[in-house]
Amino acid sequence: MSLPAAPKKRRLPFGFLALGLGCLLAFALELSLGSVRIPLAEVVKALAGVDGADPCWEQIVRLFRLPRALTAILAGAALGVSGLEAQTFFRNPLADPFVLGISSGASLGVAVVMMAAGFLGATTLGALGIGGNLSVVAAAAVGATAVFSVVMLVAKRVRDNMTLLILGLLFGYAAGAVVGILTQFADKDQTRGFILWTFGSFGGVTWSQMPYLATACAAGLLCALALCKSLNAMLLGQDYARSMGMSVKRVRFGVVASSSLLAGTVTAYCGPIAFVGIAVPHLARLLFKTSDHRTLIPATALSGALVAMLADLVAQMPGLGVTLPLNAVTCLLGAPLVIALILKRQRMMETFAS
Amino acid sequence: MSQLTLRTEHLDIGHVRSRKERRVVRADINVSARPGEFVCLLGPNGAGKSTLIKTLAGALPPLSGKVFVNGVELGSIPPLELAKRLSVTLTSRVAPGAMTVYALAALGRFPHTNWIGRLGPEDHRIVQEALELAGAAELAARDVNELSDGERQKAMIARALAQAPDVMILDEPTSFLDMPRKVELTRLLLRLARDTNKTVVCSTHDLDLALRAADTIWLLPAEGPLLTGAPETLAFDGSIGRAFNTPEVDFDQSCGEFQIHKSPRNGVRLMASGPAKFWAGRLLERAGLSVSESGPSLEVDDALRFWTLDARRGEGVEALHAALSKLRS
Repeated sequence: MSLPAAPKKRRLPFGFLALGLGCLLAFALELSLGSVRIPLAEVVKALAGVDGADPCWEQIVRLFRLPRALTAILAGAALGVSGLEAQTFFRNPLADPFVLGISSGASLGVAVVMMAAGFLGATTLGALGIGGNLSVVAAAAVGATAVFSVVMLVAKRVRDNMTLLILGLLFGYAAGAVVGILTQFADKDQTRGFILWTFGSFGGVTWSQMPYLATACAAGLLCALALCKSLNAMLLGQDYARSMGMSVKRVRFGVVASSSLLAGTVTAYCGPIAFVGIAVPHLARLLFKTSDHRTLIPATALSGALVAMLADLVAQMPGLGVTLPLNAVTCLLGAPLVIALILKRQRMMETFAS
Repeated sequence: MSQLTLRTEHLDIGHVRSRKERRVVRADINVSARPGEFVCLLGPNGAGKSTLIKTLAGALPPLSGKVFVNGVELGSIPPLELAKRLSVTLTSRVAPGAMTVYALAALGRFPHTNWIGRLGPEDHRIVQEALELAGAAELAARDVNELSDGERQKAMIARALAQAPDVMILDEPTSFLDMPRKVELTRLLLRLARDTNKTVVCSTHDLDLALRAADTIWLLPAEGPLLTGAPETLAFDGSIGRAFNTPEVDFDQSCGEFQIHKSPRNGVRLMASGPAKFWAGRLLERAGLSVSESGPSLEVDDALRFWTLDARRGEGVEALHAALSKLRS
C-alpha cells in the first residue's frame, strides 16, 4: 500500500525560521533604537553587565527598553492568539479579542478611576506618579474582569455563539456610552489622561509588574494550545464539532476564558491596542496557507510579537525625538499592509472561509 | 436475529420551546436498522425528517422514548464514545478555510486521537482507506475550497468514514448536487453499506433514487404514523402516493415516477414509436394535453422532426408546440 498522502509540510520550517529571525532582529532593534541610539555592542554589554558599559545606557536598556520589548512580544503574541481563537470559534473573520467587550470594560474602569482621581484632588494622571500607573492597571483589570464575568455568565446560558457575539458587542456599546457620559463631566486634564491611555503603549510595564503580565499571557497561550484540536474541529462548524464528540460548552468556556484573559491582561497593562488581534491571525493564515491550529497558534504568536515590536519601533520615531500613539501606528501601517496582501492574493476569504 | 445497530422505542421527537411548552413534531416512532442496511428517510417538506435525523444523531434530545445505538441508550453514551459509533453528515456546506481533503477527512479521527490530535500510522491508514472507500483518494491533496459540490460531499463522507462508526447518518446529502452526481452519491452510499457492513441512514428528497437504491424506506407522511418497508412494498400498497400526492401531481405506480395530472378532456391520439413517442408525450404534457384514445390525431416521425396534427403538416418541435398550444385554447 502506498504511503498516506500526508499534508504538505514544506512551508512549516521555513516560515517559522523566517518569523523567528524577524523577531530576533526586531528585538535587537527595540533595544538599540529609541530616543537615543545605542549601538548593539553596547546593548549586549549593558545586558551582560560587563565592566566598562556606559552606566546611563545600562540604565536605559535594563530599566526601560528590555521590559518594553518583552511587553511588546507578550502583548503581540497574546492579542494575536486571542483574536485567532475568537475568529475560529465564532466562525467570523472580523472577530477580534475585544469582540466580547473586554476593552470597553477596561476603558470604563480606567475612565472611572481617572475621573474619581480628579474629584479626589489629584489633577492629572502624571501627578499620581507610579501609584497612578498602578491604579490605572488595577482599574482596567477590574473593568475587564467585570465584563468578562458577565460574558461568562451569559456564555453558560446561551446555546448560540452568534447570540454571545451580539451580546458582547452590546456590552461594548453600553460601556462606551458610560465612558462618554463620564468624559462629558470630566475636566480637560482628566479627559486628556484618559485619551492618552486609549493611545496604548508598551512602555508602562515595570519589572515588578512583568511577572503578572508574563504569567497571565503564558496561561492564556497554553490554554489556547490545549484547545487546538477542538478549534480545528470548530472549522467545520459547531454542529459537526459536536457530532464528533467535542463538548461545545466546555470549549466555549475555554475559548472565552483564555481569549479574555489574554486580551484583558494586555489591555490592563498597555491600553486598548487595536488591529493586532484582528489582522495578525489573517497574516499567519496567509503566510502558512493553513487552517490547522497546531501550526496557526505558534505562527500567530510569533507574527503578533513581530508586528507589535515593529509598530512600537515606528511609534518611537527613532532620531526624531517625538513619539506617536501606538494605536495610530498599528492601524496606519497595518491596515494598508493587510489590504495589500489581501488584494494581491484575493485569498483571505479562501484561507479563512466564511 | 442479528444485532440491531439503530433502534427507537416509542420515540417522540420535537422541540422544547420553554419549560412548559414543547412542540411534538412526531410521536411514537419505532424503527430499527441492521448492519449493512441502507435506509432512506422520505417524506414531504415539513414532515419532520430533519428533526428525526437530529434526534437519531443525538443532536436533539428526544421528548420521550428512547434511541438505542448498538443496543445502548443514546443518552447514556458519552459524546466521544457516541462519536466512535455514529457519524453525522449535515446538509450545510462547510467552509473550513485552507485545508486539504486529506486534512478534512483526518478531522474525522477526532474522537480517536489524543489531546493535540496527533495521527498515528493506524490513523493515517484509516483516513486513507476512508478516502478510497468514498472515492475521494485522488482528491486527497486538493484544497477543500477548490472542490465542486459533488467532490466536497465525497470528502465529507470520507470524514464520516474516518470516524469509523457503526452507523452513518446523513441529512439530505444529495441536495446540492446535479442529477448524475445524485445518482453517483446514492450508489456510493449503497455500496458503503454493503462493503463496510455499516448502517447508513440518509434523508433525501430524491424519491426515485431512494426507491431504486434503498433496502428499506422510512416514510414520514405529513400526517399519520411513520411507515417502514421495502421500496416496492410502499410503492405498491399506495403509501408513497398518499404521502406525496398533491392535486397537481400523482405517483404513477406503473413507472415509479410522479406524473402531472391527466385531464381527459384535452386528449390527443398520439401515433409514434420509440424515443420519439416518449418525448412527444412530454411535449403534450407541457402543452397541457395528454395522450388518449380519442381527440385530434398527432403523428410524429422517429426523428421528432416532421409531424402531422389532424390534417396540418409541419416541421420542428417549436412549431408543434405552438400548434398544440393553439389546439388547447
